[in-house]
Amino acid sequence: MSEKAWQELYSTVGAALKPSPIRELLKLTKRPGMISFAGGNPDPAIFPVKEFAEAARIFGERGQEVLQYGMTEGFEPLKEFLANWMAPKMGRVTQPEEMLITTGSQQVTDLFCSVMVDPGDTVIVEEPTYPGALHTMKNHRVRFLGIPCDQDGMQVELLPDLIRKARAEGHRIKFIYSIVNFQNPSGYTLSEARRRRLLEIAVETGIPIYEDDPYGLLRYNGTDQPTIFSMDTEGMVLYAGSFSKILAPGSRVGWVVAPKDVTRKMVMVKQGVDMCTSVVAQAAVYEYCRLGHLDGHLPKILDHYRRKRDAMAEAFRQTLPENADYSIPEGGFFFWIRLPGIDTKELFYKAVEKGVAFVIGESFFPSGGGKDYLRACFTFAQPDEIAEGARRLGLAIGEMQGTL
Amino acid sequence: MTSFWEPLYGRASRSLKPSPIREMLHLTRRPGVISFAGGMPDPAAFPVEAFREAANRILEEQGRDILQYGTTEGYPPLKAFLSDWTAPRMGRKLAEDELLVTAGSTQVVDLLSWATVDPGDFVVCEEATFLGSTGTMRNHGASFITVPCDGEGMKVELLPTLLEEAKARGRKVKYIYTIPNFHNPLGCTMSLQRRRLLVQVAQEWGIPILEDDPYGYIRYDGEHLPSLFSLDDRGIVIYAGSFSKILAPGTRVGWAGGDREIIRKMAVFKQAVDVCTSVVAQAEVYKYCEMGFLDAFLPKIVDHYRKKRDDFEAAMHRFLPREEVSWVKPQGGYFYWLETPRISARELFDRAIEKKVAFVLGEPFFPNGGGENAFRMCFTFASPEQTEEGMRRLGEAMRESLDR
Repeated sequence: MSEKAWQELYSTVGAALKPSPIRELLKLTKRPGMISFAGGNPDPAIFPVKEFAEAARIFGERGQEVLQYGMTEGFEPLKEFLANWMAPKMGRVTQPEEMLITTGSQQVTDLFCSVMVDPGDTVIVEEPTYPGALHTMKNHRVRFLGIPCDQDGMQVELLPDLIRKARAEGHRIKFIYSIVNFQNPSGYTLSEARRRRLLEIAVETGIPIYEDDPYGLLRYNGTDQPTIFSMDTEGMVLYAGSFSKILAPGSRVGWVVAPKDVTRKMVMVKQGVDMCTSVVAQAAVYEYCRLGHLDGHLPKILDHYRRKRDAMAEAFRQTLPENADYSIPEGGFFFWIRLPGIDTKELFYKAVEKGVAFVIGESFFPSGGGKDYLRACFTFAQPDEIAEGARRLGLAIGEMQGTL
Repeated sequence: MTSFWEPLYGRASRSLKPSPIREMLHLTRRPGVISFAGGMPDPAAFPVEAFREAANRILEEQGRDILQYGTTEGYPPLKAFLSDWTAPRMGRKLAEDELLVTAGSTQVVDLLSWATVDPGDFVVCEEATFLGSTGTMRNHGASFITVPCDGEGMKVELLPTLLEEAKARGRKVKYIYTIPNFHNPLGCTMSLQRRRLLVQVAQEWGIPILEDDPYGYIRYDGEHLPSLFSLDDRGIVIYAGSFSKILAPGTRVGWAGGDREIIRKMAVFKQAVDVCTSVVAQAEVYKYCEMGFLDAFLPKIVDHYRKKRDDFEAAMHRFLPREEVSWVKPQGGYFYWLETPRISARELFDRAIEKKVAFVLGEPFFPNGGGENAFRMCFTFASPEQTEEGMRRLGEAMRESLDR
């Protein structure tokens, strides 16, 4: 059928859907010789291939079970492992009815929106925030209210006014979305004081919190902040975790912990979405954890990425202009850099010519802004590439400044 | 705590109901219950050792690649394999951009519904159909136009009138959903003549067909019929395939084949729902196929289930009151559909459960009502002894229902 014929059949969202501009830009980064600080990918060199292969023995030992349809709620041994393993972060051993295993934490956003959002409802998001989450929410026809961030994360003190005004204008606010640790893209971590205040505001206003935490276990220095979930006594927080960054994204295994009723509803939606997360993937991840490899390997990942972060910090110190504004992230995957007076979209084309790629700042703002920011991922490129990439980036910036 | 969330839920989730089958399965898990309910493969027929071998091999060979994020469209070697392997059924080799690997075929329904269905839109389907699919469509706000069926599947000749009627009432029909082979739950197979007519009607009306074919390769006797996809020259058919029945459902790997325009659109939605299907699972499935196991085991699986179907048929003849029940012997697939004009299936179910044998009521399969005197039985899961004993119990329950 012609594109036009399809166009008439598309849903409202389907018709409005456009290929993401970031994806289009990323295509340019596939050229040979390109050093990429763009995608937020882990370094395959640190994947525990041997240990994961060892875990595949579960297919021999429990094959009849793990090749069968699984419970929508998740592979029970994995849920039990997670409830115990995450207890220090969550403040308690959560119950099986509170937890759902998902196909990566991306799916949590989709399921949660299916449960909460009617077209035109509002979600409060950090500005900047993760475009993948924005994409999913847009499909559910969410309206966004952005809240600015600083070094301590979301500027929570602005929330009460924002909420009051928005409600007066008729916004139906369904939840507050926050990536609490080493935020994507800013690298900021929400301070403990702000976490407490955020929870208070949530309780006062009756707006739940979606605490997305894919990077929380990747802290290279400084002290861990308690999860908002662990502070909550009212059942207002939904916590999403993932194996993508601490084991391997190719497994596509994540999880969510939420009040039982919310979890039950997400389970019902998931039945119609993919029935259950790949049981073979869940079982292999479980066996990997059970054999002690998760605990054994995590410190190696931390060392590996800490060194890469330091390498990028050192390289940028040498190659970025004086007025470049950024801080050194204490964890996660990203540097978030402001280059006053420089349009990073223009810079992108220049940088790509020189053989280095990043993600432009405006991708992370739901309602515009961020034109002088860029995000650089330090986990994927190799150390020598980091130095060379930073050099190329410095040159591209220099040329832009020369032409101002 | 529920009270806090209740007013925040979206409209769709307030009417969300757990799948009746899943709920019923709880009853059938009681000790001693012989279940003909769930449509599950026999774990004894899983190629456990071959799958383990394939998993080990691919992790050794490609570990780093398959632990990384994958492309949303699917693991390229698996797509290349599918393009070749499905060519006889599809009538040609599909191009790379005509294939999308999904989390089981459930996800094909979800993604196509994302792309086409607005709340209030209509989907055409067989009068009784797989309730997992109608559940997914309902999540997107779909309503249904149902077409009566007989032993040769959907009565396609009624379709033009139904579509005229819908048009007159201003109803927007977004696609036609059909399970042409060994229908779930009806067990029937659409005749070649009707396939041709269906494609013709769809082309005339410009309404796409979703050809859901999870059972197509599980044929016990008779000749394979051409797929709807192969009869179409206008790109109007989207074909959904799955490894659930030809390998193992625990992999959660399925695929969609269709016009590149709609495949691209579905891929953009997939990006938002789960980024990509578990690469680990896709790669393991690929290796299993590439090592020749799929072709080696499929005939064994078919033999295994043919024998089960024949045992089932024999047991039905032996134990059920023949004059009170009718069925069509399925040429493939998993299911028998029994019609009992003088017995209420619901009443029979209660009696049967007391006697510790279970099936699935007809009613939930009818999106617009019906099926009070019909029920579905799956013959693939129970062992021969269980089939014998279960059928004896069911026969007793039926006679008691009649005596009342």
